[in-house]
Amino acid sequence: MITIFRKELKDVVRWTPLGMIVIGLLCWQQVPKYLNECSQLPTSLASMVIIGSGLFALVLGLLQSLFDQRTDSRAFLLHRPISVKDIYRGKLAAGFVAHTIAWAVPLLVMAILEVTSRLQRRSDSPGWAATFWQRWSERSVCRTS
Amino acid sequence: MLDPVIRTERLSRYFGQRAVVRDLSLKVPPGQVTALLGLNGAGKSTTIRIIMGLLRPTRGGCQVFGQDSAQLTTDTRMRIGYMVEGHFLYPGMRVRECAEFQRAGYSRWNEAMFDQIVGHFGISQSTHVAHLSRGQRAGVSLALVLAPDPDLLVLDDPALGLDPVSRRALNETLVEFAGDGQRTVLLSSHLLDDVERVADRVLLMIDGRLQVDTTLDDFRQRVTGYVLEVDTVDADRIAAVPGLIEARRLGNRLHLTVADADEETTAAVHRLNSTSVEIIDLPFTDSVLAWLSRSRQQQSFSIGSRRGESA
Repeated sequence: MITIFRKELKDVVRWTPLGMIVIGLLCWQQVPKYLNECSQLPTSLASMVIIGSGLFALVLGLLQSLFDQRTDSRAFLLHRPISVKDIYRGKLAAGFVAHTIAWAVPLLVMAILEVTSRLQRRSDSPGWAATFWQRWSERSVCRTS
Repeated sequence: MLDPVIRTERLSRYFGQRAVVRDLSLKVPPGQVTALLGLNGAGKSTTIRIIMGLLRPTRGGCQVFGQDSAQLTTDTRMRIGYMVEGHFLYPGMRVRECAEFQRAGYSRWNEAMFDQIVGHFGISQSTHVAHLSRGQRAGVSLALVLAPDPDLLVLDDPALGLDPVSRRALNETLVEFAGDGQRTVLLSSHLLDDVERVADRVLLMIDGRLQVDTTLDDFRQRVTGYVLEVDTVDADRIAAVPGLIEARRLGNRLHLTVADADEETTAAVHRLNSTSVEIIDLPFTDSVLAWLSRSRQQQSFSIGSRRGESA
Protein backbone atom coordinates (compact mmCIF):
# COMPACT_ATOMS: atom_id res chain seq x y z
CA MET A 1 0.00 0.00 0.00
CA ILE A 2 2.89 2.35 0.79
CA THR A 3 4.25 1.89 -2.73
CA ILE A 4 0.90 2.72 -4.29
CA PHE A 5 0.56 5.70 -1.92
CA ARG A 6 3.98 7.06 -2.89
CA LYS A 7 3.38 6.63 -6.58
CA GLU A 8 -0.08 8.19 -6.39
CA LEU A 9 1.09 11.07 -4.23
CA LYS A 10 3.83 11.81 -6.74
CA ASP A 11 1.18 11.89 -9.46
CA VAL A 12 -1.54 13.90 -7.69
CA VAL A 13 0.70 16.37 -5.92
CA ARG A 14 1.27 17.97 -9.32
CA TRP A 15 -2.33 19.13 -9.22
CA THR A 16 -2.21 20.69 -5.76
CA PRO A 17 -0.90 24.10 -6.95
CA LEU A 18 -4.00 24.29 -9.17
CA GLY A 19 -6.21 23.49 -6.18
CA MET A 20 -4.35 26.02 -4.04
CA ILE A 21 -4.87 28.74 -6.64
CA VAL A 22 -8.60 28.02 -6.98
CA ILE A 23 -9.23 27.80 -3.23
CA GLY A 24 -6.90 30.76 -2.60
CA LEU A 25 -8.80 32.92 -5.06
CA LEU A 26 -12.13 31.94 -3.53
CA CYS A 27 -10.79 32.82 -0.07
CA TRP A 28 -9.31 36.06 -1.30
CA GLN A 29 -12.73 37.18 -2.46
CA GLN A 30 -13.97 36.92 1.10
CA VAL A 31 -11.44 39.31 2.53
CA PRO A 32 -13.52 42.12 4.17
CA LYS A 33 -13.26 45.55 2.70
CA TYR A 34 -15.07 47.23 5.57
CA LEU A 35 -14.63 46.72 9.24
CA ASN A 36 -18.29 45.76 9.79
CA GLU A 37 -17.90 42.74 7.48
CA CYS A 38 -15.22 41.26 9.69
CA SER A 39 -17.64 39.36 11.88
CA GLN A 40 -18.92 37.36 8.89
CA LEU A 41 -15.46 36.35 7.76
CA PRO A 42 -15.24 32.92 9.44
CA THR A 43 -18.59 31.86 7.98
CA SER A 44 -17.94 33.12 4.47
CA LEU A 45 -14.40 31.75 4.48
CA ALA A 46 -15.58 28.35 5.67
CA SER A 47 -18.27 28.17 2.98
CA MET A 48 -15.79 29.14 0.26
CA VAL A 49 -13.25 26.57 1.48
CA ILE A 50 -15.97 23.91 1.51
CA ILE A 51 -17.08 24.76 -2.04
CA GLY A 52 -13.52 25.11 -3.37
CA SER A 53 -12.15 22.02 -1.70
CA GLY A 54 -15.24 20.04 -2.71
CA LEU A 55 -14.71 20.99 -6.34
CA PHE A 56 -11.04 20.20 -6.13
CA ALA A 57 -11.75 16.85 -4.48
CA LEU A 58 -14.06 15.98 -7.38
CA VAL A 59 -11.46 16.95 -9.98
CA LEU A 60 -8.72 15.10 -8.10
CA GLY A 61 -10.84 11.97 -7.81
CA LEU A 62 -11.58 12.06 -11.54
CA LEU A 63 -7.93 12.58 -12.40
CA GLN A 64 -6.93 9.71 -10.16
CA SER A 65 -9.45 7.31 -11.62
CA LEU A 66 -9.78 8.37 -15.27
CA PHE A 67 -6.21 7.49 -16.24
CA ASP A 68 -6.65 4.04 -14.77
CA GLN A 69 -9.82 3.40 -16.78
CA ARG A 70 -7.64 2.62 -19.80
CA THR A 71 -7.45 -1.13 -20.29
CA ASP A 72 -3.65 -1.32 -20.26
CA SER A 73 -3.19 1.06 -17.35
CA ARG A 74 -5.87 -0.69 -15.32
CA ALA A 75 -4.38 -4.12 -16.00
CA PHE A 76 -0.90 -2.90 -15.08
CA LEU A 77 -2.14 -1.43 -11.81
CA LEU A 78 -4.40 -4.27 -10.72
CA HIS A 79 -2.25 -7.25 -11.56
CA ARG A 80 0.16 -7.25 -8.62
CA PRO A 81 0.30 -9.06 -5.31
CA ILE A 82 -1.51 -6.24 -3.58
CA SER A 83 -5.20 -6.51 -2.87
CA VAL A 84 -7.60 -4.20 -4.69
CA LYS A 85 -8.61 -2.80 -1.30
CA ASP A 86 -5.02 -1.79 -0.56
CA ILE A 87 -4.62 -0.25 -3.99
CA TYR A 88 -7.80 1.75 -3.36
CA ARG A 89 -6.64 2.78 0.10
CA GLY A 90 -3.26 3.87 -1.24
CA LYS A 91 -4.94 6.00 -3.87
CA LEU A 92 -7.40 7.41 -1.36
CA ALA A 93 -4.70 8.33 1.15
CA ALA A 94 -2.62 10.04 -1.54
CA GLY A 95 -5.66 11.96 -2.75
CA PHE A 96 -6.50 12.96 0.82
CA VAL A 97 -2.99 14.30 1.46
CA ALA A 98 -2.93 16.25 -1.82
CA HIS A 99 -6.42 17.61 -1.11
CA THR A 100 -5.51 18.65 2.42
CA ILE A 101 -2.43 20.51 1.21
CA ALA A 102 -4.53 22.22 -1.45
CA TRP A 103 -7.05 23.72 1.00
CA ALA A 104 -4.95 24.01 4.16
CA VAL A 105 -2.14 26.11 2.68
CA PRO A 106 -4.33 28.93 1.27
CA LEU A 107 -6.45 28.91 4.40
CA LEU A 108 -3.36 29.15 6.58
CA VAL A 109 -1.94 31.97 4.50
CA MET A 110 -5.29 33.74 4.69
CA ALA A 111 -5.45 33.30 8.45
CA ILE A 112 -1.93 34.68 8.94
CA LEU A 113 -2.67 37.66 6.71
CA GLU A 114 -5.92 38.32 8.50
CA VAL A 115 -4.42 38.12 11.97
CA THR A 116 -1.58 40.40 10.90
CA SER A 117 -3.96 42.95 9.42
CA ARG A 118 -6.20 42.87 12.49
CA LEU A 119 -3.23 43.52 14.71
CA GLN A 120 -2.37 46.36 12.40
CA ARG A 121 -5.90 47.79 12.63
CA ARG A 122 -5.98 47.47 16.40
CA SER A 123 -2.67 49.28 16.75
CA ASP A 124 -4.16 52.22 14.75
CA SER A 125 -7.02 52.58 17.24
CA PRO A 126 -5.37 51.20 20.31
CA GLY A 127 -6.91 47.87 21.20
CA TRP A 128 -5.69 45.11 23.43
CA ALA A 129 -3.00 43.94 21.02
CA ALA A 130 -1.67 47.38 20.28
CA THR A 131 -1.68 48.26 23.95
CA PHE A 132 0.16 45.07 24.68
CA TRP A 133 2.81 45.78 22.06
CA GLN A 134 3.15 49.39 23.20
CA ARG A 135 3.63 48.44 26.85
CA TRP A 136 6.03 45.69 25.98
CA SER A 137 8.18 47.95 23.83
CA GLU A 138 8.18 50.71 26.49
CA ARG A 139 9.33 48.22 29.09
CA SER A 140 12.13 46.97 26.90
CA VAL A 141 13.23 50.57 26.15
CA CYS A 142 13.35 51.26 29.91
CA ARG A 143 15.44 48.18 30.49
CA THR A 144 17.99 49.10 27.87
CA SER A 145 18.32 52.67 29.10
CA MET B 1 -1.28 -36.12 -16.21
CA LEU B 2 -0.52 -32.86 -14.46
CA ASP B 3 -3.35 -30.46 -13.79
CA PRO B 4 -3.62 -27.67 -16.34
CA VAL B 5 -2.41 -24.28 -15.16
CA ILE B 6 -5.26 -22.51 -16.94
CA ARG B 7 -8.62 -24.11 -17.58
CA THR B 8 -11.69 -22.49 -19.08
CA GLU B 9 -15.09 -24.12 -19.29
CA ARG B 10 -17.59 -22.86 -21.88
CA LEU B 11 -16.38 -19.34 -21.38
CA SER B 12 -18.42 -16.63 -23.09
CA ARG B 13 -18.18 -12.90 -22.98
CA TYR B 14 -20.58 -10.43 -24.52
CA PHE B 15 -20.11 -6.70 -24.99
CA GLY B 16 -23.69 -5.56 -25.37
CA GLN B 17 -25.26 -7.91 -27.90
CA ARG B 18 -21.92 -8.83 -29.47
CA ALA B 19 -20.32 -12.09 -28.42
CA VAL B 20 -16.55 -11.65 -28.34
CA VAL B 21 -15.73 -15.01 -26.75
CA ARG B 22 -18.06 -17.96 -27.32
CA ASP B 23 -18.11 -21.26 -25.48
CA LEU B 24 -14.37 -21.34 -25.05
CA SER B 25 -13.09 -24.48 -23.36
CA LEU B 26 -9.34 -24.82 -23.20
CA LYS B 27 -6.54 -26.17 -21.06
CA VAL B 28 -3.06 -24.76 -20.83
CA PRO B 29 -0.73 -27.53 -19.64
CA PRO B 30 2.14 -26.77 -17.27
CA GLY B 31 5.71 -26.40 -18.46
CA GLN B 32 4.85 -25.50 -22.04
CA VAL B 33 4.69 -22.43 -24.21
CA THR B 34 1.16 -22.08 -25.58
CA ALA B 35 0.45 -19.59 -28.34
CA LEU B 36 -2.97 -18.01 -28.69
CA LEU B 37 -3.47 -17.03 -32.31
CA GLY B 38 -6.21 -15.22 -34.14
CA LEU B 39 -7.06 -12.16 -36.17
CA ASN B 40 -7.76 -8.78 -34.61
CA GLY B 41 -11.07 -9.01 -32.79
CA ALA B 42 -10.92 -12.80 -32.50
CA GLY B 43 -11.21 -12.51 -28.72
CA LYS B 44 -7.60 -13.21 -27.67
CA SER B 45 -7.11 -10.16 -25.46
CA THR B 46 -10.58 -10.52 -23.97
CA THR B 47 -9.80 -14.14 -23.10
CA ILE B 48 -6.52 -13.10 -21.51
CA ARG B 49 -8.24 -10.36 -19.53
CA ILE B 50 -10.74 -12.90 -18.23
CA ILE B 51 -7.93 -15.31 -17.35
CA MET B 52 -6.19 -12.52 -15.44
CA GLY B 53 -9.37 -11.72 -13.53
CA LEU B 54 -9.65 -8.24 -15.02
CA LEU B 55 -12.92 -8.96 -16.78
CA ARG B 56 -15.82 -11.11 -15.69
CA PRO B 57 -17.15 -13.68 -18.14
CA THR B 58 -20.79 -13.43 -19.14
CA ARG B 59 -21.07 -17.22 -18.90
CA GLY B 60 -18.79 -20.09 -18.06
CA GLY B 61 -15.81 -20.27 -15.78
CA CYS B 62 -12.07 -19.88 -15.76
CA GLN B 63 -9.54 -21.25 -13.33
CA VAL B 64 -5.88 -20.37 -12.91
CA PHE B 65 -3.82 -22.64 -10.65
CA GLY B 66 -7.13 -24.19 -9.65
CA GLN B 67 -8.54 -20.87 -8.47
CA ASP B 68 -11.43 -18.94 -9.93
CA SER B 69 -9.81 -16.23 -12.05
CA ALA B 70 -12.35 -13.64 -10.89
CA GLN B 71 -11.12 -14.06 -7.33
CA LEU B 72 -7.39 -14.54 -7.60
CA THR B 73 -5.64 -14.07 -4.29
CA THR B 74 -2.49 -11.99 -3.95
CA ASP B 75 -0.50 -15.21 -3.44
CA THR B 76 -1.73 -16.56 -6.77
CA ARG B 77 -1.11 -13.25 -8.51
CA MET B 78 2.44 -13.43 -7.19
CA ARG B 79 2.92 -16.59 -9.26
CA ILE B 80 1.73 -14.95 -12.48
CA GLY B 81 3.67 -12.53 -14.63
CA TYR B 82 1.41 -10.57 -16.94
CA MET B 83 2.62 -8.32 -19.72
CA VAL B 84 -0.23 -6.10 -20.85
CA GLU B 85 -0.82 -5.29 -24.49
CA GLY B 86 1.15 -2.24 -25.60
CA HIS B 87 3.85 -2.59 -22.90
CA PHE B 88 2.24 -0.09 -20.58
CA LEU B 89 4.48 1.64 -18.06
CA TYR B 90 3.95 4.84 -16.09
CA PRO B 91 5.57 7.55 -18.21
CA GLY B 92 6.57 9.70 -15.24
CA MET B 93 8.80 7.04 -13.75
CA ARG B 94 12.41 6.17 -14.38
CA VAL B 95 13.28 2.55 -15.17
CA ARG B 96 14.71 2.11 -11.67
CA GLU B 97 11.51 3.49 -10.11
CA CYS B 98 9.45 1.10 -12.25
CA ALA B 99 11.37 -1.79 -10.70
CA GLU B 100 10.88 -0.44 -7.18
CA PHE B 101 7.18 0.03 -7.81
CA GLN B 102 6.73 -3.40 -9.35
CA ARG B 103 8.62 -5.40 -6.73
CA ALA B 104 6.27 -4.32 -3.91
CA GLY B 105 4.46 -7.33 -2.56
CA TYR B 106 6.56 -9.97 -4.31
CA SER B 107 8.38 -12.40 -2.06
CA ARG B 108 10.88 -13.14 -4.84
CA TRP B 109 12.63 -10.55 -6.94
CA ASN B 110 15.61 -11.41 -9.08
CA GLU B 111 17.49 -8.13 -9.32
CA ALA B 112 20.25 -9.71 -11.42
CA MET B 113 17.70 -10.95 -13.96
CA PHE B 114 16.08 -7.53 -14.14
CA ASP B 115 19.44 -5.85 -14.73
CA GLN B 116 20.39 -8.49 -17.29
CA ILE B 117 17.20 -8.13 -19.37
CA VAL B 118 17.24 -4.35 -19.21
CA GLY B 119 20.90 -4.47 -20.23
CA HIS B 120 20.06 -6.88 -23.06
CA PHE B 121 17.79 -4.20 -24.51
CA GLY B 122 20.46 -1.54 -24.00
CA ILE B 123 18.55 0.55 -21.47
CA SER B 124 20.01 2.71 -18.73
CA GLN B 125 18.08 2.40 -15.46
CA SER B 126 18.08 6.14 -14.94
CA THR B 127 16.18 6.74 -18.18
CA HIS B 128 12.67 8.15 -18.01
CA VAL B 129 10.02 5.78 -19.39
CA ALA B 130 8.71 8.62 -21.54
CA HIS B 131 12.06 8.71 -23.34
CA LEU B 132 12.16 4.98 -24.10
CA SER B 133 11.51 3.58 -27.57
CA ARG B 134 8.76 1.00 -28.02
CA GLY B 135 11.28 -1.84 -28.09
CA GLN B 136 12.95 -0.58 -24.95
CA ARG B 137 9.58 -0.29 -23.22
CA ALA B 138 8.93 -3.90 -24.16
CA GLY B 139 12.29 -4.80 -22.66
CA VAL B 140 11.48 -3.07 -19.38
CA SER B 141 8.01 -4.67 -19.31
CA LEU B 142 9.53 -8.08 -19.87
CA ALA B 143 12.13 -7.50 -17.17
CA LEU B 144 9.38 -6.42 -14.76
CA VAL B 145 7.31 -9.56 -15.33
CA LEU B 146 10.26 -11.97 -15.28
CA ALA B 147 12.13 -10.58 -12.26
CA PRO B 148 9.63 -12.03 -9.73
CA ASP B 149 10.38 -15.43 -11.29
CA PRO B 150 6.73 -16.32 -12.00
CA ASP B 151 5.45 -19.86 -12.55
CA LEU B 152 3.06 -18.65 -15.23
CA LEU B 153 3.80 -15.97 -17.76
CA VAL B 154 0.94 -14.41 -19.72
CA LEU B 155 2.01 -12.16 -22.57
CA ASP B 156 -0.56 -10.22 -24.56
CA ASP B 157 0.98 -9.48 -27.95
CA PRO B 158 4.47 -8.92 -26.56
CA ALA B 159 6.09 -8.29 -29.95
CA LEU B 160 3.62 -5.58 -30.97
CA GLY B 161 5.49 -2.82 -32.78
CA LEU B 162 8.94 -4.20 -32.08
CA ASP B 163 11.84 -3.97 -34.50
CA PRO B 164 13.52 -7.26 -35.58
CA VAL B 165 16.38 -6.90 -33.09
CA SER B 166 14.03 -6.33 -30.17
CA ARG B 167 11.88 -9.25 -31.35
CA ARG B 168 14.87 -11.52 -31.39
CA ALA B 169 15.87 -10.34 -27.91
CA LEU B 170 12.30 -11.02 -26.73
CA ASN B 171 12.26 -14.52 -28.24
CA GLU B 172 15.66 -15.38 -26.79
CA THR B 173 14.54 -14.25 -23.36
CA LEU B 174 11.33 -16.28 -23.63
CA VAL B 175 13.11 -19.43 -24.76
CA GLU B 176 15.60 -19.04 -21.93
CA PHE B 177 12.80 -18.50 -19.42
CA ALA B 178 10.67 -21.46 -20.47
CA GLY B 179 13.53 -23.70 -21.48
CA ASP B 180 13.70 -25.69 -18.25
CA GLY B 181 10.12 -26.94 -18.69
CA GLN B 182 9.18 -25.81 -15.20
CA ARG B 183 7.37 -22.68 -16.18
CA THR B 184 4.29 -22.12 -18.28
CA VAL B 185 3.85 -19.42 -20.88
CA LEU B 186 0.67 -18.26 -22.60
CA LEU B 187 1.30 -15.74 -25.31
CA SER B 188 -0.95 -14.15 -27.88
CA SER B 189 0.71 -12.99 -31.05
CA HIS B 190 0.29 -12.18 -34.72
CA LEU B 191 3.89 -12.99 -35.52
CA LEU B 192 3.73 -16.57 -36.70
CA ASP B 193 7.47 -16.93 -37.28
CA ASP B 194 8.12 -16.06 -33.67
CA VAL B 195 5.38 -18.39 -32.49
CA GLU B 196 6.87 -21.26 -34.49
CA ARG B 197 10.21 -20.62 -32.84
CA VAL B 198 9.05 -20.55 -29.24
CA ALA B 199 5.68 -22.33 -28.91
CA ASP B 200 4.90 -25.96 -28.03
CA ARG B 201 1.13 -25.69 -28.42
CA VAL B 202 -1.22 -23.70 -30.61
CA LEU B 203 -4.65 -22.35 -29.79
CA LEU B 204 -6.37 -20.78 -32.76
CA MET B 205 -9.36 -18.52 -32.18
CA ILE B 206 -11.69 -17.41 -34.91
CA ASP B 207 -14.60 -15.09 -34.16
CA GLY B 208 -14.43 -15.84 -30.47
CA ARG B 209 -14.45 -19.62 -30.92
CA LEU B 210 -11.57 -21.99 -30.43
CA GLN B 211 -10.90 -23.76 -33.72
CA VAL B 212 -7.57 -25.44 -33.03
CA ASP B 213 -6.09 -26.72 -29.78
CA THR B 214 -3.12 -28.95 -30.34
CA THR B 215 0.66 -29.20 -30.29
CA LEU B 216 2.69 -27.40 -32.91
CA ASP B 217 3.96 -30.64 -34.42
CA ASP B 218 0.48 -32.14 -34.58
CA PHE B 219 -0.84 -28.97 -36.18
CA ARG B 220 1.85 -29.14 -38.86
CA GLN B 221 1.11 -32.80 -39.56
CA ARG B 222 -2.65 -32.43 -39.70
CA VAL B 223 -2.72 -29.64 -42.24
CA THR B 224 -2.00 -30.67 -45.83
CA GLY B 225 -1.66 -28.61 -48.97
CA TYR B 226 -2.68 -29.62 -52.52
CA VAL B 227 -1.75 -27.80 -55.69
CA LEU B 228 -3.93 -28.65 -58.68
CA GLU B 229 -3.66 -27.62 -62.34
CA VAL B 230 -7.21 -26.75 -63.37
CA ASP B 231 -8.92 -25.12 -66.29
CA THR B 232 -12.34 -24.68 -64.76
CA VAL B 233 -13.35 -24.55 -61.12
CA ASP B 234 -16.48 -26.11 -59.76
CA ALA B 235 -17.12 -24.29 -56.47
CA ASP B 236 -19.58 -26.92 -55.22
CA ARG B 237 -17.10 -29.75 -55.76
CA ILE B 238 -14.36 -27.77 -53.99
CA ALA B 239 -16.66 -27.08 -51.05
CA ALA B 240 -17.36 -30.82 -50.87
CA VAL B 241 -13.70 -31.67 -50.14
CA PRO B 242 -13.72 -33.06 -46.58
CA GLY B 243 -11.73 -31.00 -44.08
CA LEU B 244 -11.26 -28.10 -46.48
CA ILE B 245 -9.81 -25.06 -44.75
CA GLU B 246 -9.09 -22.80 -47.67
CA ALA B 247 -9.14 -22.79 -51.48
CA ARG B 248 -7.28 -20.16 -53.48
CA ARG B 249 -6.91 -19.86 -57.20
CA LEU B 250 -3.71 -18.41 -58.61
CA GLY B 251 -3.86 -18.41 -62.39
CA ASN B 252 -4.63 -21.95 -63.51
CA ARG B 253 -3.39 -23.42 -60.23
CA LEU B 254 -5.72 -24.17 -57.37
CA HIS B 255 -4.26 -24.27 -53.86
CA LEU B 256 -6.23 -26.28 -51.34
CA THR B 257 -5.49 -26.42 -47.65
CA VAL B 258 -7.09 -29.33 -45.85
CA ALA B 259 -7.20 -30.50 -42.26
CA ASP B 260 -6.93 -34.19 -41.35
CA ALA B 261 -6.67 -35.35 -44.96
CA ASP B 262 -7.54 -39.01 -45.54
CA GLU B 263 -8.38 -41.25 -48.48
CA GLU B 264 -11.76 -39.63 -48.88
CA THR B 265 -10.12 -36.21 -49.13
CA THR B 266 -7.67 -37.45 -51.73
CA ALA B 267 -10.51 -38.96 -53.74
CA ALA B 268 -12.49 -35.71 -53.56
CA VAL B 269 -9.46 -33.74 -54.70
CA HIS B 270 -8.98 -36.05 -57.67
CA ARG B 271 -12.62 -35.53 -58.68
CA LEU B 272 -11.92 -31.83 -59.34
CA ASN B 273 -11.03 -32.39 -63.02
CA SER B 274 -7.44 -31.37 -62.61
CA THR B 275 -4.64 -32.27 -64.98
CA SER B 276 -2.19 -32.77 -62.10
CA VAL B 277 -2.37 -33.02 -58.31
CA GLU B 278 0.62 -32.28 -56.11
CA ILE B 279 0.74 -32.70 -52.35
CA ILE B 280 2.93 -30.08 -50.68
CA ASP B 281 4.27 -29.60 -47.18
CA LEU B 282 2.76 -26.44 -45.83
CA PRO B 283 4.88 -24.28 -43.58
CA PHE B 284 3.35 -23.52 -40.20
CA THR B 285 2.77 -19.90 -41.17
CA ASP B 286 0.82 -20.85 -44.30
CA SER B 287 -1.29 -23.36 -42.40
CA VAL B 288 -2.30 -20.78 -39.82
CA LEU B 289 -2.92 -18.18 -42.50
CA ALA B 290 -5.21 -20.61 -44.32
CA TRP B 291 -7.33 -20.96 -41.18
CA LEU B 292 -7.39 -17.25 -40.60
CA SER B 293 -8.09 -16.38 -44.24
CA ARG B 294 -11.13 -18.62 -44.22
CA SER B 295 -12.66 -16.59 -41.42
CA ARG B 296 -11.79 -13.32 -43.16
CA GLN B 297 -13.29 -14.50 -46.47
CA GLN B 298 -16.64 -15.03 -44.82
CA GLN B 299 -16.78 -11.31 -44.16
CA SER B 300 -14.86 -10.06 -47.19
CA PHE B 301 -15.44 -6.70 -48.77
CA SER B 302 -16.43 -8.29 -52.09
CA ILE B 303 -19.22 -10.33 -50.51
CA GLY B 304 -20.40 -7.28 -48.61
CA SER B 305 -20.44 -5.10 -51.73
CA ARG B 306 -22.24 -7.77 -53.77
CA ARG B 307 -24.85 -7.99 -51.05
CA GLY B 308 -25.12 -4.22 -51.12
CA GLU B 309 -25.63 -4.27 -54.87
CA SER B 310 -28.32 -6.92 -54.76
CA ALA B 311 -30.16 -5.06 -52.04
